[in-house]
Amino acid sequence: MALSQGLRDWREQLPDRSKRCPAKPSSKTHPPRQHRPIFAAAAAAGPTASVQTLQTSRGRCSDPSTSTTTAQPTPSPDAASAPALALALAHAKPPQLHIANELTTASAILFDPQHTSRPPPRKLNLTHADTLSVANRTDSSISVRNLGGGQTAPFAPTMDNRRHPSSFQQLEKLGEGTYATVFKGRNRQTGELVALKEIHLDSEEGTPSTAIREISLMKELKHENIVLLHDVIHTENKLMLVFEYMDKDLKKYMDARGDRGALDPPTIKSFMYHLLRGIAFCHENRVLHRDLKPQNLLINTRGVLKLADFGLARAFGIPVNTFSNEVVTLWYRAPDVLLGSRTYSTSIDIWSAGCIMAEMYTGRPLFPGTTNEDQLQKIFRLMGTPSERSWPGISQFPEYKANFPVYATQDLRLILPQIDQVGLSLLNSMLQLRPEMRISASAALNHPWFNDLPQRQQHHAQALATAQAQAQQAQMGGYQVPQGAY
Amino acid sequence: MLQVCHPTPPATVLPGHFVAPVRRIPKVMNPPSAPNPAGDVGVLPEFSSLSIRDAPSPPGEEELHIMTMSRETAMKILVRSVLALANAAGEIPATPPLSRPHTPSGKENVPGTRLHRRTASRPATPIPANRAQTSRTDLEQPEAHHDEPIIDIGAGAEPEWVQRANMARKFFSKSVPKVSLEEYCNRIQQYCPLSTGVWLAAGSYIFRLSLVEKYVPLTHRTMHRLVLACLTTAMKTLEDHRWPQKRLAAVGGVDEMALGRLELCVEFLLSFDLQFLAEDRLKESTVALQKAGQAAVMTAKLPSAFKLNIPRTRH
Repeated sequence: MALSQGLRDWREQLPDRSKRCPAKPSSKTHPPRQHRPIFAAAAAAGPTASVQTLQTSRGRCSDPSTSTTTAQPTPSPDAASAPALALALAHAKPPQLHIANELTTASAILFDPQHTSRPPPRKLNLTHADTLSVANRTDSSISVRNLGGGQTAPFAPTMDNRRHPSSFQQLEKLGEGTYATVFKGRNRQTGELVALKEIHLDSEEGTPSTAIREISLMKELKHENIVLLHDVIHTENKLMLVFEYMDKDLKKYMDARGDRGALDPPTIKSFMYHLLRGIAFCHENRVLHRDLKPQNLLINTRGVLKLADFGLARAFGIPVNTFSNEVVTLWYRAPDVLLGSRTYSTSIDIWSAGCIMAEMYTGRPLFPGTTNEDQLQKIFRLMGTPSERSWPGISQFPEYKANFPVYATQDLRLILPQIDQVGLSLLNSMLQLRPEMRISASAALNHPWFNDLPQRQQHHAQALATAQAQAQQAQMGGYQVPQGAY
Repeated sequence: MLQVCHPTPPATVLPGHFVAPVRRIPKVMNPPSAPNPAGDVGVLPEFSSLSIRDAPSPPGEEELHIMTMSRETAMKILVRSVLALANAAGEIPATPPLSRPHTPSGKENVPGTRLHRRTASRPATPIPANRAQTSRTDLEQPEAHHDEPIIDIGAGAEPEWVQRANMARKFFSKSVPKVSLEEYCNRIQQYCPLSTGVWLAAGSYIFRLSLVEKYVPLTHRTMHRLVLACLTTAMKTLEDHRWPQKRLAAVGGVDEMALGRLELCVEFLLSFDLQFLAEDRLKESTVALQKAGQAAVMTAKLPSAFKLNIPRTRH
């Protein structure tokens, strides 16, 4: 129920979104049918299309509602007859030029003959609406194309020799982070939307460690609740990370559709389930995320939440130096880290998840501290000030002070009146001050709060079916099914 | 309106400490900036003066416990194996430089017309002043200039193996460096101490680059740059602290730009397969490297200085 509710509300917003992005063809001005053959033809011609097209069509066709409301190209089965049609359409009038002709300049808007004797600014005369592709911008690029788990896409020369086997059209800017700029992009072969994260390389740092972490970890962590990394391309002085396209981050999602940022309980339950599944998968693979916050959780058009931004993540269980204490964005930082711990583990991600859960109910960050001390005090005010009695060994932490103000534990229900009793017990077990008392991600997934979630019933049924199939195979004389065959 | 601060003073609050004015939370709250793990001074590794000669010898496969191994022992495993393999390989010349295909038009490819810098790098881990001094190593001139083009997939003309060979060129010195590998690693460890995990991971990268995938031949002319680039990559992959690129380059005897290029070559030749998430992967690759080194000792040619003195027998 939770998911369908989320989707319905989501669709109501779509027209509004197309208004804000004028560069994107909206379904009103151009019927989607016109676009379809062009991209289908591209998909058929592309050498690496096979795998990606499959992914695209599976993703889009499973939900017919999204493919009709948005004007996304859908690779159709009649791709074989498409090239001729595509060619004819391209000669008649490229539909992109409609939009290109509507583009204007700042000087054209501001021009007023009353105040100047200059001639009016000329009209923009665009001949094609393409932006530069990654491949066309430079003659020096490396690409890691076999990120798909050992299956190398065969290198085949394209008809157009200047085109990279998987080149991307760079569209509008989506956001700018501290060390990267993210653009929307489109795969030229498959028409699939992607997110392009552009990382500048300089001699001061070489390849940023955040980029190395993000690529090497996301390459190994393939899960439906972790954003998929398609490709890495190196051009002259940039690294371009190609991710699956996600519609919004959780923060923007809450601002856009929540009631003052607060979400409805079924959506919260669904998102929490996705979040915990992603975290559990990381922890099973001995990876700490170390920067979970609403801005790093992305939501796609089908209402699936995925973990992103693994720049601060790291693997544990390797003989290296001590861990850094400067991890996790302050508001989501666990009390043990705030107290100066460098021996933290998986439980720091669980604390962040708890903070995020509360934030989804209220629309406000749970502990919006300004400094390390202020952050600790905000936590203690709500969760109670810990003592050597409630938390043995707390006085050994570097940042521990004997004169912390003493607060009693508050009932979380006072600030989260919307939460139900079962959800509250899960939240309480995630927001434990002592790291060793915090619930693990896999245990949290089995919490009764998720019992009525259709997705969990599905996952359970799948797991049961797999186990049964395996037991049956074992009975039939040890015949082995190759892993991942289903 | 809900307030995040607690609404009523709790019973146990001491009157002197309770100064909780209920603050209005501003409507738009931007979260604090993302932290920089490398900025924590506490993660800087200890400097030690332990030389590789004094380090305990690496144990055999059965007693190899990577979690408790000292970093000098890890370093010894790397140096011994790499040296044995380079001895066995003999002299392998670098592939000739790739003739650069015609550059497609576009101003952006002309060096000097770089786009403005969009972002600043994050600062590396601060180093105490008394340790700030390093001394430069002199490594022989590289075979390939760091600006020599690596790859031209964009131009679509060169098959991948040619591009790989071209990346391998970056690791060659024009002649064998005078500084021995042992001395070279000692200097790195003296000025930029690295942990056990980083040394072992670098060994694993070299094993895959040179022996499994055979991208870069492991010889006396390539081993120094290979070790430096793999160590830099391993440090950034596994550690929270980070030595400044400038310092690493100076200690390693290469140009800062060249180190950046070498590092990229390692990352792309290994397809960014740089993590050790499976429990025994690091140990397995260490054992494999050690075994390869031992096998190389057996097959190595005798040095030319070695002369047999067969006693003459008179009839």
